Amino acid sequence: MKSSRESSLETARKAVDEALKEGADQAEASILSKDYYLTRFANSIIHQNVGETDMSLSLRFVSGKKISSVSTNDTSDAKISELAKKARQLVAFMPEDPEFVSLPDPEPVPELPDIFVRGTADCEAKTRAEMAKALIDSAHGLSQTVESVAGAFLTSTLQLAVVNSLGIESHALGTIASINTNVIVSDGTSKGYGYAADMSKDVRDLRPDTLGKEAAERASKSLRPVRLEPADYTSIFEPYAVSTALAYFAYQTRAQPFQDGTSFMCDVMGKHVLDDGVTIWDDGLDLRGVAFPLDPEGVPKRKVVLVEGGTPRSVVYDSYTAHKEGKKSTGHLGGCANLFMGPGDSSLEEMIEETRKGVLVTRWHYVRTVHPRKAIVTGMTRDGTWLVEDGEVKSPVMNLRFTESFLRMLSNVPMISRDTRRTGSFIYAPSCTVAPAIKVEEFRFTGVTEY
Amino acid sequence: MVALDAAMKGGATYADVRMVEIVRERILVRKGKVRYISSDESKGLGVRAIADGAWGFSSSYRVDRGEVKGTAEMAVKIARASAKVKKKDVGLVPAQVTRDKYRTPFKVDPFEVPLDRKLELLLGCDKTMREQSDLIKVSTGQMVSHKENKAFASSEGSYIEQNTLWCGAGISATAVGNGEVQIRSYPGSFGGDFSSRGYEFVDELRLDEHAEECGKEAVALLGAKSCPSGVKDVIIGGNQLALQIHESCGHPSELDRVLGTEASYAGTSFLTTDKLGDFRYGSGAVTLIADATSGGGLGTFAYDDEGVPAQRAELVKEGNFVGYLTDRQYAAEVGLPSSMGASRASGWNRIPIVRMTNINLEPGDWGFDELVSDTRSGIFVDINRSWSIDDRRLNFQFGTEVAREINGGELGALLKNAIYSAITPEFWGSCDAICGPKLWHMWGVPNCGKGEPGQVMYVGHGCAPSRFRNVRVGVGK
Repeated sequence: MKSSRESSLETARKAVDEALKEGADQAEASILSKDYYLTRFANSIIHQNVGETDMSLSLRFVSGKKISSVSTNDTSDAKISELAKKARQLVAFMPEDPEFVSLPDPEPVPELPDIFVRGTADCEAKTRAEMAKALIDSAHGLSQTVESVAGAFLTSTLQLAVVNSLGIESHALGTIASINTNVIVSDGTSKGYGYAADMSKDVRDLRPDTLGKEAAERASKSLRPVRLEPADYTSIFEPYAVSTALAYFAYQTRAQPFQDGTSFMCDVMGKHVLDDGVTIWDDGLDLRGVAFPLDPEGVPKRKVVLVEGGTPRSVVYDSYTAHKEGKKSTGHLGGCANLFMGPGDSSLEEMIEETRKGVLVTRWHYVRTVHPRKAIVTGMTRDGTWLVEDGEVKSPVMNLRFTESFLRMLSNVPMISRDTRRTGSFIYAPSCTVAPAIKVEEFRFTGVTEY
Repeated sequence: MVALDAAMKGGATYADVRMVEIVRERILVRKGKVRYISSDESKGLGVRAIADGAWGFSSSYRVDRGEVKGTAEMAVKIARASAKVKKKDVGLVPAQVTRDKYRTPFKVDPFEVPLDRKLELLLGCDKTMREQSDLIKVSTGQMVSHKENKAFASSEGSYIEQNTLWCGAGISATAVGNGEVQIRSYPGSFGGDFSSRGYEFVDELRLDEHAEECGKEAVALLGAKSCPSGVKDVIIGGNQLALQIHESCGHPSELDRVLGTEASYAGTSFLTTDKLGDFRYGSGAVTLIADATSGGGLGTFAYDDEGVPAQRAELVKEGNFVGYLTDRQYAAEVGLPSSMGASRASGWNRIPIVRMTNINLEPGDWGFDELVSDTRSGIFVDINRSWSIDDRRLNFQFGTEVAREINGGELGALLKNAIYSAITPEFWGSCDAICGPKLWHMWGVPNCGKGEPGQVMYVGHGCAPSRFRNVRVGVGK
């Protein structure tokens, strides 16, 4: 990381001072710096291998109840001065926003020194290549039928420094390492697909060889899928699928759609409409996920319980939406980023054993909202879908399309696994989800594809 | 030349560098308030190098001499690491050495149009939409202006400067009632419509003349009949058809994706290389062209990000699958003599990959009224609301904001929550009528996602309303 904590804060202070000199009543500057290295592999070779050093300075300029925002990645003194002038020019065009109250007030931000790992920050291209090779070799080592191994291996350092004229001076520095892989096997007449992924702040936590085997095993079991007619089935979702489901669920728990009346949370807040075992929360400070203690307004992230024992309890707020309700921001500008679903007392094996007829799903793909107020989404299964009959995994099935409501889905959850899994989710923004496997009764599949 | 010199001295056998500066102004008006006016600038350079037969890419926002040299050296270092996990050396089809400049033609620079004029337009539309009913809970007006100054240089001797520009706008009304959320947008959803033209394009959209209709129709949809389920003939309007082309033709014809490079993320493609020239993609009415030379498209430029000239290339000719979107590497991989020029990067900090340019459905000769009157029973759908497609681009399900019954050759009642689904080649095989050039429009899609790290690219889709027979509608309710 080329910019230090002090230099980032100093640059942010300069930007705030320039804005105040230009006549701002309040001002906020945030500096996001990143070193980002990604090694992608496909067809069992590295085909894209990239590095990026970037930073962005975002300035919010407040004049009465008018706000403008500008950004640049040039932090020279001249540019900062120009940026403040540009912000002043823009704010002159803004009409008053009566719902704007203030930028956030300062609050102590917890120190989380453990979220930065030197080994991740210093991880070199050579090491990423070696780890990618270990993953590829482990997958090929599992079976001669492995045709192709694809995936991505990320090591990244993020630094956020926020200063505002009300006294906020917040800073955090963290690292992320993640691997995902998709293995394709072929027996000459059919192809099978498997997936595995992991995420941590510490690159040394990642086990590429284990992930390669996991994905290859799934792929090997996916050969020669049969067609299963779409219908309502008991469905067992592995943590990868649950992770994606939770990310989409959480997107509708932001305060804005709730305040607009377009979120399904409007109809169910405070009502016991989901299964007793369903508890979902976001906690940016929980080190079991990928913690980061502040949001881009410099506000400390608070734990917010979205669903407690089957009852939706809260949405998440940034300062603007919080002030509209006379509340304090929960530190969620940008939404949930470290999401958890509470564990149960079951296991994936027990879920399968106790299923007379159902579908086992590894992963959800291309999920989109069909009806926000009814929480209906559609998407496809991917990278391993199987028919379960009489307590056993019987055969792979062609990927299925589902069109289902989260509310219906989460009100029929008889089993939740005690083990959870941490995976990266990149639905709307980089985030982490810690999810169990779940069993859902009468999950609605509405279509089937050809593989 | 500092970057190229450093890369070649470091042992690269090929290198190219792009210095890019992007300036973007975004305006969002929401519920009678200006939610934001933002001005964002980003500049930097990206260096791509082949060393030991493999690719490396490095980028930095700092463009001082020392950093540029270091970035190029890092690209070579990364390439050498890539070479530890390769099966063969990267090959490139030839590209002509070029020295040229290009500038998007436009009449009115959108960055020079006074902000108060833009705000007056958007706030006026917003007010008109909300005035239609108290049931309008969210109203928005958006405008985006984007300019990009790019210099490309390669170790083969090319040097190209391009100054491109695009802009666009849109409005949207959301009505809430009876447990329903219904949206009506104009001219398209997810921000409107966009073109690589000047502000004259925004003026021509006539947003203010459509605000009342948006508000009224959003409210009318709350009380409309639900779209029936069954198999129907479907006429698809231009905005929805643009997305249909994007998802079911554009993405599956990206050759890098076909060859597995996106397998772990977005997926692969059903258009495998054995199908090239020997696969019935659609009916004889269907001809799809990738055309980076089309006027006004968001995928319009003079050279791609490998310095290959913009081209017009057939993907589907009268229903037969005949071509891919390519770059230099993957064209070489499948034995093509040259690239058709679809290598694009979303910024200085992203590696060029195979992207859509303007993927256009050639017009037919039908009039819209003629098409409706020729349809005994069916539905008309338009303006995308939701989209989902499998990881080989076969099974898709799209939802639209608006639909209307077609009975006895006439447009009838409004329908809500319309959804249709199909398998891609069966769907395009059922296309039997395409409207003519007068109804053909180049739609701008500024939010095409692909790759890791994510690259949001801007592409175009020219098309006219078209009819598809025996499509499954109303599924999944």
